[in-house]
Amino acid sequence: MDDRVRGALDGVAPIEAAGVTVSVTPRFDRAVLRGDAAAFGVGLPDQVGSVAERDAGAVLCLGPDEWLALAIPGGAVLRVAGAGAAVDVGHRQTALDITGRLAAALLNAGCPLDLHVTAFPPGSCTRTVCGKAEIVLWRRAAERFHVEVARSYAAYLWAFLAENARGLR
Amino acid sequence: MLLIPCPFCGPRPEIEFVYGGEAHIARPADPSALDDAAWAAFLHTRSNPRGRHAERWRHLHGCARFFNVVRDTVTDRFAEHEAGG
Amino acid sequence: MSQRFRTAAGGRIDRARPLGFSFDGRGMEGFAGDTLASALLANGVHLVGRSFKYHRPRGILAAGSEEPNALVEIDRGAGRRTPNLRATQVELHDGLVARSQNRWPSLAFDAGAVSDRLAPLLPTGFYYKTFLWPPRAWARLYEPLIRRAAGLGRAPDTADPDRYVQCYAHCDVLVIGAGPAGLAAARAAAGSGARVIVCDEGAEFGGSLLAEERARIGGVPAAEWLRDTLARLEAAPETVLLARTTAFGYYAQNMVGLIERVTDHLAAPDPALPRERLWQVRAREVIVAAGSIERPLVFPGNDRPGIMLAGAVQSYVVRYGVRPGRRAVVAAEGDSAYRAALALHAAGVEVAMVADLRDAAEGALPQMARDAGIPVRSGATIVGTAGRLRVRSVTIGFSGGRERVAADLLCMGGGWTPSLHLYSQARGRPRHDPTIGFVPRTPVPGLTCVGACRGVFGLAEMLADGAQAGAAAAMRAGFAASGESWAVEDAPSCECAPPRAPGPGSGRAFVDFQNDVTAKDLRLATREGFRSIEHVKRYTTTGMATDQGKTSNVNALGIVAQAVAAPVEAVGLTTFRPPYTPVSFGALAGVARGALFDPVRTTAIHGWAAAQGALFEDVGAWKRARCFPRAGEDMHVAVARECRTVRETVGLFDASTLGKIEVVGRDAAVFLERMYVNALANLAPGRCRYAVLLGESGFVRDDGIVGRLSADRFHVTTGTGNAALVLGLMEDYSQTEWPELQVWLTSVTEQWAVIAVQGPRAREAIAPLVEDVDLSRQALPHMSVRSCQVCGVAARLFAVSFTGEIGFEINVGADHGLAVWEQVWERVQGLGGAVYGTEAMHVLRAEKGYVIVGQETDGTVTIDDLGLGWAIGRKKQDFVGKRSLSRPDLAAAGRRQLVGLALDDASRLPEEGMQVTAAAQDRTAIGHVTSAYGSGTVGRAVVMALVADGRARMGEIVFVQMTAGAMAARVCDPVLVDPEGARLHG
Ligand SMILES: [Zn+2]
Repeated sequence: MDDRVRGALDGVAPIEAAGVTVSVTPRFDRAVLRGDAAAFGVGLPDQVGSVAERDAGAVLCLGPDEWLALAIPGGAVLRVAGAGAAVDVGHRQTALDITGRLAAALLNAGCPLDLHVTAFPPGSCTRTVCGKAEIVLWRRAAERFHVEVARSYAAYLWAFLAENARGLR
Repeated sequence: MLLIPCPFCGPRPEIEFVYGGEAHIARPADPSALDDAAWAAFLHTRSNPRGRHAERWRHLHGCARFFNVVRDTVTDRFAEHEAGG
Repeated sequence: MSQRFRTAAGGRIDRARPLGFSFDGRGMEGFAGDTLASALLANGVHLVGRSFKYHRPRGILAAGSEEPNALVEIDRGAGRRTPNLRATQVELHDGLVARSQNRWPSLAFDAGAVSDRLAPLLPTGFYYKTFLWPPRAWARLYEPLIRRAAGLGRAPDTADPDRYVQCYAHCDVLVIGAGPAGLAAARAAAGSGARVIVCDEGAEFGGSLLAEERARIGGVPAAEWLRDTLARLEAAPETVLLARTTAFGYYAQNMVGLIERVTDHLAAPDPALPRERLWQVRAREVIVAAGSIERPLVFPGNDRPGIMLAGAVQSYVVRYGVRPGRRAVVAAEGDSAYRAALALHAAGVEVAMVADLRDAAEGALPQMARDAGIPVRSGATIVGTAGRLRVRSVTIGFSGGRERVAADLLCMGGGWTPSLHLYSQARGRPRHDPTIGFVPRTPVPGLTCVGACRGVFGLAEMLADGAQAGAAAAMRAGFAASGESWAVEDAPSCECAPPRAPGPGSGRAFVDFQNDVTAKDLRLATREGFRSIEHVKRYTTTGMATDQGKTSNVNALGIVAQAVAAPVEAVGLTTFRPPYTPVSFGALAGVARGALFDPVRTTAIHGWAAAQGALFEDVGAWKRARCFPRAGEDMHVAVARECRTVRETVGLFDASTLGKIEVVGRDAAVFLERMYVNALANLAPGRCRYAVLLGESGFVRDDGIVGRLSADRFHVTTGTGNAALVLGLMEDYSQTEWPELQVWLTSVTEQWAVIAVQGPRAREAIAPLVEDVDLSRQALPHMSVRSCQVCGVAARLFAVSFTGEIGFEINVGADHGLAVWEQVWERVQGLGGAVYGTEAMHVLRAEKGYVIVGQETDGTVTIDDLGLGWAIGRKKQDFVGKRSLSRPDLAAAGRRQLVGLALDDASRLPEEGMQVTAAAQDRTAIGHVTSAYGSGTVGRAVVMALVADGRARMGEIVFVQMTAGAMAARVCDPVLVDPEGARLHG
């Protein structure tokens, strides 16, 4: 089926600017998990804004009863036992990888959060906005962000980042 | 832009939130038991004070939760959190 | 001779880097480090503009952003013409092209100056009093006349080719203003390791230190202390220094708007750089070190070129190495003006006299002036000035008589006004200090004023004030900090002139230079009954120009207070509003222009549709294919063909933009039962129901399909533009009203591409592509749903219709959408089918009388108005909005109900929104058209309308008020095609 899969940003060349690079990540499987952390049989991070990284992906705690599970395709299928819900959102979002010394500065062109490494350290995540798009932001390292954006906003966000990457301070 | 204290995420910029109107306007358990005037009051009558105002916000582009908070409508400063609904 | 008025040496200009520029076409030379104003003065140019109302010749008054007169147009080429820039802030670069404004045909001879001679006829309030009657004359005569005369500068007339960007920033301490107090504060805060942002509107940090020639700080010259301080700040890893950056507005909770001018000072900027960058800074602590602004003196003829603020003159001499005249008079109301006299004297300018307005001129600075041999006379008043395009002489009154002194430069030192703009924007309330004027009074949490902007003037005091506040702010932000202290030498104490009202004098004494408001105008306003300063301001326009009265407000206040015989504090200050100085629209828009103005949302199938030549329409932020014209077809023909194909064969439609919500949990059915009007708890897995959602006020908010996938999982659709609203409404009830229900909502709008296949051969079209589902009418009846595989990928297959034909909606993962679409298209095409767009979809649904929420409804339409009352679960005790349905107005007779209209003339097509009346000549509407389309199937226009008591009027004739006149129409059932539903269930 792979030859029949079309991501929202297939074929775009990375944005390469002084101090920052933006590229499209490989495909992820994704699920929204809702409810009690215990319902999922796997340990979920219980602090809003924290991330548990696993071999094949990560689980982002976005709210007191909401997680976004990211996994490479073919990863483990979650079983829900108890008060909870799992919803497949693998196609709903597109992910970008933003790296470099000015990665945070680029995001701050449209994201109103304090992304200083002391305020939003590696291993942090949150839903927020960037320009006129909603995003999920996960800081993987001091100079590396994983950004999830809804499929139909991906082209806008990409153009927004490309425009702001020019002459970034 | 206001800095709004989300009980789950801490202080966050207003642009991430949607306003939810006055707090503590609970939907009657049995609306059919209300006469027209009481139902109209539930729908439309709000306190609109000058000063402390208990109000609802939803951290839409954040944890997505609704919460209550007290804001001073004169100074725009937020006072305290209240639990839930 | 070039730069005749340059000093022999000194200043912060780079004499090794001469720069060419032009002013009104005349080539001149300046040096790197000059502003346009200092370079013009170095070339002996004082006349730089004409005033707004009287077109009086005006020169350079100030040296900073408070400049009211020297507004120029800077031309950086096509589309890059910027009007109303202050010459005092425009940095010189090689090739700079500047022009004066508000003059015709030339600056030296301005035809508009006739209004100066008419001045006695143009008193304050002239426009209010004169152009009253008749009203018609406004449009034809007065307004065009006033508009031609009014307006300052020429607006650009082409699109701005420059880039503007914006960014958010956060810091522990934001220091606004990099003069001595601000720098001392920044040094203390940065030294603690706190995150610090320092901004200053000038090209160079230093503020008043840049014009300081004498003082020593910590044992070294002030310039060296400045150098050392900047080096420390630059080395601090968490400190950001922003020169050429104005803090233009204070917003709630320490958010401050900064505008950084990135490239205007460069002759050949890097094209990658934006012209301006707008910063939205959220600071834990804000330190305002905004300084103070010198007040002009108000005396007759105080506006001639060559009459300048004393502090500005000192700055031009010391910082820019410019002699702003040959022979100067200094009019001093306080000690600080003596510094200008001393600087001029040291630079070789003859100082004819310091005319001190005080009864006695004592203190260190007057003594230094006397020691230098400068004549000092106290008890002086400035009676008037002479000179047409430049001041020529000054007439000074003494107790013994008058003296006329020849001078081409008159320095005014009227005392200093603390800059309260940001403090006041932050809702601080000032108090009036009789010796200083208005100073901060009430504390603002997280904001500290330091130095001159809070009335602390001496250099030593400013440094100490800043250092202490900087350390305190860092500590409040959680850092260990301590303020340094420095010994200050050779900074003679400076008695500040208290603000006071000028004497009545004859002739025009200007208060607001930019709006040409005189002391007489203000007094006239008070005589006419205006008492509040806010009213006087609006009546006279004092303080309402682009400089917002930076040099004039306190003088105006003093005059009004005197005229109404009230204390200044009782008259009050006018309100300070952002922006501090004008901000370009480009910076406010940022990158949000053109393609980035708003997100354009597209579906997985968009590229395919575009390649087919589809025409698109905007639906919310979505681009949707409206129709697919073939060669030679216009839209009308294409839509008719698409409709026909769906009715006769099969059509393919991209419905991906439909809102979709996955509702999961043990109580999902209970939750939906409470949300929607329908009975949904009993919906069997595998079945769907058309469902209507009301607001609590009883009006229709949305409709959609509720499909039950399993006992605890539902797939719910919403209207394209309603997805976010419906999800928000549901979340509200789920989280706050019924938190006990185990139900979770997830938006899956973007998860699924939706491929609608509609028409009598729809089943045949998809059958070979669907695995393991019996598509027969019996096994998969209308309003069913199955999870299955389509084209080898996971799918949710709905048997639903929005056309009245047999229909399926294949939901597949969006990334699979295009591939599946192409395979379905191959099948559809093979059967002679067509792809159709939203226009055909609208026609097809209207022929069936299906409503669209937002088209047939407007937020005041009930479910019964739409004739959809059948959907209400009759046995339900409660659902959202139910109670409102029995409110008297919602149950009353006479409500507008949905009907069809059959127009007498089958060739006519009304427009949506047209009014419906009972009689052709009626002026009162009984309804309005909600939808109208040409329909080949019906053979005339399909018209839906909301008409009062419409269902009781079936067969009656009403009239649609068309543009060309009333058109008779018969009220009919809105369902025009297959009312029995035989095709749907075929
Ligand atoms: Zn939150």
